Amino acid sequence: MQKVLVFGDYGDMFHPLTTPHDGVQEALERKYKVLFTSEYAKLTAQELSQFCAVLCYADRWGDSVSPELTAAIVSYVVNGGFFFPIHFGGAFMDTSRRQIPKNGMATNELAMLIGARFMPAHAPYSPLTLTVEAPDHPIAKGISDFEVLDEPFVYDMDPFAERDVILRYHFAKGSYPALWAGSYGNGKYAYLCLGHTEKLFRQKIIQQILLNAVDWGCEKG
Amino acid sequence: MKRILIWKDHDKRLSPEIYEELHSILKDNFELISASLADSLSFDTLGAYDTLVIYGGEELRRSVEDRSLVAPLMTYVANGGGLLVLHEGIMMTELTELSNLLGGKGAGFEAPLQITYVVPYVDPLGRSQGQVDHVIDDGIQTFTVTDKKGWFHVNLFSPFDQILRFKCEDYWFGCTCGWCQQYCLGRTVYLSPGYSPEVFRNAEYRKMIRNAVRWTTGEISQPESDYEMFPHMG
Repeated sequence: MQKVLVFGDYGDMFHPLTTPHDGVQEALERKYKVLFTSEYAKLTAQELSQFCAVLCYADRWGDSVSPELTAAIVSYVVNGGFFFPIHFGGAFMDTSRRQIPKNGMATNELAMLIGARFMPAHAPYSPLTLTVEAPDHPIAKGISDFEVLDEPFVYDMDPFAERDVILRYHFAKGSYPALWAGSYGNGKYAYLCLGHTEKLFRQKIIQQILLNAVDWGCEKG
Repeated sequence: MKRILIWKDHDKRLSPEIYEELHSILKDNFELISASLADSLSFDTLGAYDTLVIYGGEELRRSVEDRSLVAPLMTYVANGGGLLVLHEGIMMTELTELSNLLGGKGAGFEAPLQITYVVPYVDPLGRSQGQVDHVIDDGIQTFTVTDKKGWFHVNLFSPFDQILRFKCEDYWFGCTCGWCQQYCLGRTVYLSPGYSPEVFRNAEYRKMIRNAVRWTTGEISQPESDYEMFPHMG
């Protein structure tokens, strides 16, 4: 059975790893062995290489995520791995506030990898309408338009990055990428902006998206 | 002594004189090894060097087209390797991953003409042409050479520092043609000058290449305080 790793911070105030824990486990356990960790220091490229997918729900980038971990993730992906940040796990913000690095990012390399940069201010938890933009993409298999309650995260999309936007959400008068994916080196990445509550991860449609994404990411070639 | 690998392409278009010049610029400060791309393109091989110098050529073109360059080069730099890319080596940034690695993207070269290169600076009023007075630019004076003018897009998400510009009629502050960035545990530099061996004989450019390699190998570093946007916090 292939293994999937999910990393994040159990003790975080806003986005603890307990939020996705049960829902992700439920979504993937029939096909994958799912492991969860907060021990970032142990996550070397060699350690990551035993997982066919690495899901990221980290919040405290400035506190916990070292350049060594960033290097491990980049090395893991370019050599064939699948990196899948979820919700604030793709923000890569330095939330420690002790020193603001350039661009306000704790790790520019991972923003470059997913081809998008989190825009720090966002509207509150709200009803969002999701529409399928790329129905032929394997991650969209069995997914049709749906509605959820979540935080409307907005990303600044890298104009040079190549990606497939699979889902968009509609909020107020705008529409924004909600799920996108692409290849990077010999590996792949995907990003899902939804994921603020435990309840969301329990929804069948979200679990289907997670399973589709991991299936696609773990498929070689 | 830090070990530098110069990628020696078998491309006949490329003058061996350029390699001779690079060799003479760096030989007193570094241990130099030259190898073809095919012989050295693995992380295990690259990992033995402190900096890799890439110029251009057909072999590089092929490794961009078949993408064989991406994984070993990114793994090498991400884990602490240094990378200096010169002139047409920018062709590698046709691949998104490598434009992220280098922090910018090439947009083409023009026919050779007289170009004046200047280093960006922060003036006494704090008005910045670059983000900082970079250590790679230490002691470098304006220089004029016959060269191909290159155009570039810098990466929006890159924390690059501008280190070289060319004078240009439309913009008093010049146009960016050299920059550097930290990438994970490694460092990358791009310098546009280098059309002919003559360019590499310019004394200022020679100093700049030497400084660039000293920076990519970690011999010199920018003071951290230059990047504290809000030093009063915390």
